[in-house]
Amino acid sequence: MAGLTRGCAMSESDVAVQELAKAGGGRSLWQDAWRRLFRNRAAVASMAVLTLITLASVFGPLLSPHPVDKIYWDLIGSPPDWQNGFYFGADANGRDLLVRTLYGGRISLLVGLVATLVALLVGVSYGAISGYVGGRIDNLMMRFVDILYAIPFMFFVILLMVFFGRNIILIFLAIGGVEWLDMARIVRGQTLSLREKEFVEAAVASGVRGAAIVRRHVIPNTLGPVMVYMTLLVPKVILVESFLSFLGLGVQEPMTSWGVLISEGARQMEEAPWMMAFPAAILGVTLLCLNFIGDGLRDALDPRDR
Amino acid sequence: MSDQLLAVRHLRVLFPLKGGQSVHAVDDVSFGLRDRESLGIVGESGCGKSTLARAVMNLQALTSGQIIWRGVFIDTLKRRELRDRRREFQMIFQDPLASLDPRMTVAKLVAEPLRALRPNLRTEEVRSMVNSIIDRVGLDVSALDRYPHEFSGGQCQRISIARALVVEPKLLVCDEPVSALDVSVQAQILNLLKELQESCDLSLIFISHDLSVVRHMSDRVMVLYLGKIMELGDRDRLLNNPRHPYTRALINSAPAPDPNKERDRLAPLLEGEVPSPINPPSGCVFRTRCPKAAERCAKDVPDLRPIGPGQNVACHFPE
Repeated sequence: MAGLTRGCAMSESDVAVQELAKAGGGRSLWQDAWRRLFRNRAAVASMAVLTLITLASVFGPLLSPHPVDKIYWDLIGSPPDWQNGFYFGADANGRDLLVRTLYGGRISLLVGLVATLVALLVGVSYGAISGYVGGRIDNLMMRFVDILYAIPFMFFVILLMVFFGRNIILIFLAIGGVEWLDMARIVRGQTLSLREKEFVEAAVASGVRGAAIVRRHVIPNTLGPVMVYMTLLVPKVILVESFLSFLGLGVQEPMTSWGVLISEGARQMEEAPWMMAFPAAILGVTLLCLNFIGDGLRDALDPRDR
Repeated sequence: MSDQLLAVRHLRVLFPLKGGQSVHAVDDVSFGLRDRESLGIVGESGCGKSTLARAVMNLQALTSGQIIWRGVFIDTLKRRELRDRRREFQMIFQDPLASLDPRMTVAKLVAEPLRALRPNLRTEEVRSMVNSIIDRVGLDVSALDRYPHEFSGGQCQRISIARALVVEPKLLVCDEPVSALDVSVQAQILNLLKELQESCDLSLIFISHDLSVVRHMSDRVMVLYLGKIMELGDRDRLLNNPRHPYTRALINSAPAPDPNKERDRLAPLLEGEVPSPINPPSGCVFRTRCPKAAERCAKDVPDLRPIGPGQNVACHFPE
């Protein structure tokens, strides 16, 4: 009641002041971006589906009656069957394909997420610093990137395996450690053009430090292309992981990933199409969702696009 | 001169090119600026107006010369010391929209210099200072929550002015602040600047290629041509009684509002193009287009010398 009377007594100027207080607090770019992202239906639906896939991957194998490495000798290569509870059928070794697909999702999603994040963090900051500082340091930093480009990826991975032993974390780092190079180049190119913009000069004239200019003005304005590249990077990373696994450098039996399942399934494509179809469909749906989310994020992060 | 705010001495900015040549953007420019004075700088495109402004703002490295701000050589200051001094001189730019980060709200944009230059302020203090300056430049507080692209050019320039003045500088450098705006909006922005100059005790360096704008805004006027000062003097003397042939031609080339007056111009209009700043003419840089050019003009560089009370001219044969 007290609140109500006070509310009624509030004069117009009070309201204005309160509005002002809210406004002066300043919504950040990200707060605004979230709000806009949640208005994008495709992005919201994609986030829901992706969450579902993630939850299923994390908890599915725990709930399934079939252990991931249990071999059912009488079910080798059997098609999907709703009667006996093998909804995705069994693989060439007689293991439940559903639980293996979910299990593979753990590795694939983790690789996609971690390796992309590594590439994003390293690439964006490296590229933005190189481009903003410019001159000799830029030259030096970009030649270093060129040198890394010249090292064959497989050689790099094998070298890491030899030195540190086989390890999932290492795969993440290896993939991330290679994929950031493209990101760095993209961001550097953007930064070079942003550096000449008047608003950057205005920030310098306002006494803003170099580091703050990179953080507040340069990086936010490179986010458009970065987001697009990121949505391309996630599928690429998932496929690179499957390639590594195929060569015996990635995850090993009985562990699995979507890439491994698809390449195994591809071998039985004619006799047992479901072995490839299920993991491929889930990978496809995941990538589609990531694309929608990436698109939505890019739009949401650009205040000019409402 | 105790009330001298800024002194620029023999300022020279060259942009080196491949092959050992260089673009002479600003060449041996010296002037002073008193407290609360406004200095207008006019000249054609490419005469070094903007480079001069950027050099004064320390956004541009000098090739040689000195900039003395209230007794301190600011061109040789360390980065941190320079940042402390930036509170005292601020700038507004030509393109109002391009000088505002498209991804920041107005509140953030205007608060940025405060956060950078006065980090000790509390959030509420910053907020109230931002609100009051936004009000003073004639914008509504509801503008704070919006992004630059939602505003017109004139409003964007008001935001720029707010951002420059929020730290209460002594000097405001205006690099063609109205040339990107509609004529009707130009007048509003110019009057706003004049009014703020009064109330904030500002000195102005006002750059424009439009003589009528400069006449409206300045106490003294500097005429630049190919990076050199042609004439520098009190506004009324210089504009009503120009002594340099170039100033004369510049004034003449401005279209008169009365078509009958159009006919009786003081002197013929300028012919030809501005010579290349890569290879400026010897002696007086204006001699290639000057109706009075003589042999001496090709040999000796004319010094800027006093020719009457409050009027200086760089010409061997002033009018």
